[in-house]
Amino acid sequence: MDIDQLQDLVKQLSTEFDSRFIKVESVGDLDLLASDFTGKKGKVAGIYRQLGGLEASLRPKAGEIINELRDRIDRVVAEARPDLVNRERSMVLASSFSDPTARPGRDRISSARSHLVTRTRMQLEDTFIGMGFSVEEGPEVESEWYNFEALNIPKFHPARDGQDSFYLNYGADNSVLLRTHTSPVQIRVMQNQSLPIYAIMPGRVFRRDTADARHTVGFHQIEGLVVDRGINFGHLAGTIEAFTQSYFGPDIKSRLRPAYFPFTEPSAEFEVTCTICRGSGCRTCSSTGWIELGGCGMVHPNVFSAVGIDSEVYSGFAFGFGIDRLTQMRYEIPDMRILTENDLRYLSRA
Amino acid sequence: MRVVLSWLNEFADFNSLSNSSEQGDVVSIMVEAMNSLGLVVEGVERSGFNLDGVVVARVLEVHSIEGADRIRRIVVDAGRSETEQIVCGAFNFGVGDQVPLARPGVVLPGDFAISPRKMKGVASNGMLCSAKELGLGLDLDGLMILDPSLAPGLEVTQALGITPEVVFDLAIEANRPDANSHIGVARELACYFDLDFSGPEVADLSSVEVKPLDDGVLGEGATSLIIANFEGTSLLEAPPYVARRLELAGMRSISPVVDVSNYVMLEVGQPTHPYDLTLLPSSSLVVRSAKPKEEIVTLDGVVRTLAEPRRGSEEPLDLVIADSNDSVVGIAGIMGGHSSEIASTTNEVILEIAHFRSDLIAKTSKRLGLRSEASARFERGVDPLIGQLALGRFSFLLGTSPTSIAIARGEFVAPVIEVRPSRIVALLGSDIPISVVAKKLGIMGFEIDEANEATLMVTPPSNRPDIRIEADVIEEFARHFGYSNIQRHQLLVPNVGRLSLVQRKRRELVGFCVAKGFYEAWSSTLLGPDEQRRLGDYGRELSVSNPMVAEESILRRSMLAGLLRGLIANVRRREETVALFEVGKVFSYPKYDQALPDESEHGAWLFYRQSGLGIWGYDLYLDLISHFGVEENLSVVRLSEIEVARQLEAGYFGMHPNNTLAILRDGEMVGVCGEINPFVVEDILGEALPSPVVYMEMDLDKTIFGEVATQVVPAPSQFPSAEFDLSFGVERAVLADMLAKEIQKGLKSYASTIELIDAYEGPALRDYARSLTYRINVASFDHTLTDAEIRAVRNGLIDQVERAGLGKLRD
Repeated sequence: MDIDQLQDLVKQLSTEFDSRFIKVESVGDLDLLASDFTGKKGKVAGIYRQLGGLEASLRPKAGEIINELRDRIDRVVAEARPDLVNRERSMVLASSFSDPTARPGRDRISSARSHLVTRTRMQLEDTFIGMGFSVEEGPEVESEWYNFEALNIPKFHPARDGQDSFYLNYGADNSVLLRTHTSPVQIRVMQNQSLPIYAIMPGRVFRRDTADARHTVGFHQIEGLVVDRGINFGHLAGTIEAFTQSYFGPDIKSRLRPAYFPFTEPSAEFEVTCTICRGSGCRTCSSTGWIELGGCGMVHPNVFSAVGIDSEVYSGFAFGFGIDRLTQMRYEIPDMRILTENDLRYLSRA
Repeated sequence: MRVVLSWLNEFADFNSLSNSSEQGDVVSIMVEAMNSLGLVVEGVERSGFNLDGVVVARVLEVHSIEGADRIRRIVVDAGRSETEQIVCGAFNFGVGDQVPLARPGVVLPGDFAISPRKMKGVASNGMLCSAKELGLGLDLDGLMILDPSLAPGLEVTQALGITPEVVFDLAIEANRPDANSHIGVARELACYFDLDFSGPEVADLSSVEVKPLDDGVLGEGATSLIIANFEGTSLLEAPPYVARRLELAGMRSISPVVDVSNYVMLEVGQPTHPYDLTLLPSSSLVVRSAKPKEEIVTLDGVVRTLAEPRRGSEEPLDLVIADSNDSVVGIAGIMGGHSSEIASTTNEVILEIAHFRSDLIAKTSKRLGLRSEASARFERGVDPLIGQLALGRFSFLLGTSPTSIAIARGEFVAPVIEVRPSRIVALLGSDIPISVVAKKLGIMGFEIDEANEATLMVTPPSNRPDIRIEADVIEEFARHFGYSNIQRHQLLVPNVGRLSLVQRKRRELVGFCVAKGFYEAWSSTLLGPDEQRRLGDYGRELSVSNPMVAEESILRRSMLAGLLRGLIANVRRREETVALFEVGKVFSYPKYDQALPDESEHGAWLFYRQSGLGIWGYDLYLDLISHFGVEENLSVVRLSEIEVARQLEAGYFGMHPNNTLAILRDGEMVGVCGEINPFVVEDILGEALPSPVVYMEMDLDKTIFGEVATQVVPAPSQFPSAEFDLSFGVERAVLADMLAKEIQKGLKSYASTIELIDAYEGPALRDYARSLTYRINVASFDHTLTDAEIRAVRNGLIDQVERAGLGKLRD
């Protein structure tokens, strides 16, 4: 054999490879083709075996020619492989078919949900935390002094009528009760913390009222207290507005109107744009465009004196509203009592 | 307080507002003003509007309708040439009665359009109306029965002399005694709109003899008392608008004298009380404290037992009005007595006009559970100087004069309040000139001594006894200045807002439980005593002294009863899986005397699945304590090993004694984890559940909210580990976890894991109740363990377990 013959042979093999390569349809075909040509017993190896008759000086040249062919085949095979693999995998995937939405639910324990009231409370807390407030807590069973007296609500004050209380058989008669509002926490915070105070106080409270669609015996309030030098009514109004817009969104506004609470003076009721009709008037807001949310005012001097804060040096404001009521508004709950029934049909969808 | 617009107009010309403003009609302008003044308008009612086309109809025939027993066919003469037929559901009338007829086309109050209808096949051409349907009264019992002398077909408005009236329903705050009267509301609004205000017209009583009374008649609780005698009262008439306005304001018309007494109260805010003089021994009355066990039958026919002053105290408890025989004829400021009640035939009346201490009236009213229009006013504070105006008004409206007047008057000193304009500016945060403040207060009826620039000495009007301190005056100013006119300021908070550590952990706990598949519950803090006892808890309960219902009469000591309510309700609804958790307060009697009961925050978890598969309590416990990093602080023992006293103190009841673990911290029981006693559930549900109910509860502050021990986590060993199994025969009482902990002790210096791979109970075991098999994986931190070392470790562990008496190696 001489170089020319070899070259012919290589060319012939190369052509043969190409004509078979076109017909390759699978990784298996490709592997078979590769092994037929470049495998140990393949056609390329066969040419090597025929080089025996070649002049020794020509062998390097011959090796070069054959290697060139082998390299080309290897390259073509390597380049072709990923596409073929992908094509086959696609076919496998396409033929394996199931319904991801058909879940056998019976044995599954899926993740659950926190209570609507908890969620509302957390959102409120987060809003105020963002404004620089801390979150304070106090006992649910309170002394009459913290719940009323210190808040400028002496015995037989008409304001006590509106907050019918559950008294406990503990200590002196009518001296210990389930707190009727979160305001006693204000007193505790003012007693126990250094000034200034910027705090909110969420928690459960109790009123001796028959439960109905809008009331439950136990419910939740959130209260805010600011005590610092130079705090005025304008700050109160500004804070209510900042909260309103941050919690409800920029197109919900707030307004204050005069009201009466024994522990604040001046006192105000605060209203926000009806979140249902956005102020245009609907059934929820009795066509006024406003919804009453809570009470607020400047801390009464008598309250400051009950906790030993000099009202000539410090001033402050407080505000409070119902977490449950907000929850009711937000999730349009027709009857509040469903929140205490722990009905999984409701909890799991709420 | 129901306020009638036409009544307000007697004191200021509010109709003129429609000319001065383009913002709407008088009513909406006034509503806006009252709201912004804090006299919140809860409703606006219109009476006598939309009655055009409602006519007088005489009932000619009444027929039953076949197949209908709630409606009848009525034939009426309503002034037309032909009779008219109406189907009607009322039964309070008969042939010959005259009633209102609304013909088709009429739109009644409340947008109620009348149209021809057919009921049970019978045509109805209109509707016969009740007073309520016409917006003329509260009576819903049947049709409004009209005067028989009226001509059929006459418009009802004309027949009754009805003019359209507007009534505002106002919510009056406790600090606004003045606004419980028409003149109070009118004065406030006149001031707001800058209109002229004039008081009510009164009779000239200058010629009537006035006899001063001894101050002794005032007792301890009255500050003034006026007694006026009237004769010939049975012949007196009140102007027709009196009854109509009373009705509009929500009071029934009774007789001219009573009506005028009530009218004066609603108008000027002073309650008065008329007595039938012939039923009294004389015309003198005194105010005094009640005597021991003194009784009176009040106007409502109820026997009231009064209270004397407490021993050692001069402070009266209940104030009464007594006659000259010292018999009680009324409860002061609250309600008169039945014995001297006037009738329409009463010809001699004495009128009591008094002013009482508000706190005393409030106490008695509350103690007796008796509230009246009078007590509501006295409690909040009546103008102490208005008594004579009330008498003059009473006389004017009845068109008569008292034959004599007796007056006792205690001292009234109007407070003088120091108000610093600088303080107003500081508290409101708006720059308001002092002249604006002084002018506004002046218009509002404050007397102002402006001698000093820096301070105003201010005397509030006598109808505002609630105004006592500087802040009260500032509020009054702010109210009239307008809250919306006060400039808003941004609050610059110098603090950093954040949650406390416990608050963060609480949130994490909620997230953890929810991810585990537990729904957050909210169960009642108040329980029934039997609910607690059913759990086996006979400990001292913290009870409510004034519960509304027995089921809400004691404070929960644990969350189990509450979550059981949830379980039962859901199981009854055929729920197959119930997974609930709750975070909340529980309460108990403290060991030692302290101001408030013990209160702690607990977490509780309840899991039930009909199939019995799912969450295992101990797994949940381990996950939870390792999530919060408090494994080192806590240990568990079987609940049945806890002494009764310790269990009583901890307050966890209702659990299966053997299949429950007591969670301990430093020897104190701080929780339970296991199964609810199946018989507890059976007793409530009425049937046994097919699977155990998993329950865990713990004191959060003492467990997962507690301090996290600093843990050093060793780096994993770089050397190969050896693995071997050990099977121990154990007694029933031995907990697998206890044995594992013992094994762990022997592996302290190695990198190791222990896993329980088999727990077997069965007849194949002869010497022991159970067999527990652990797979132990052990490696050294500094070299590869040799076979001899591994053998030594293994033998050491066996030895340790056997010496601890927990089990014996099985062959």
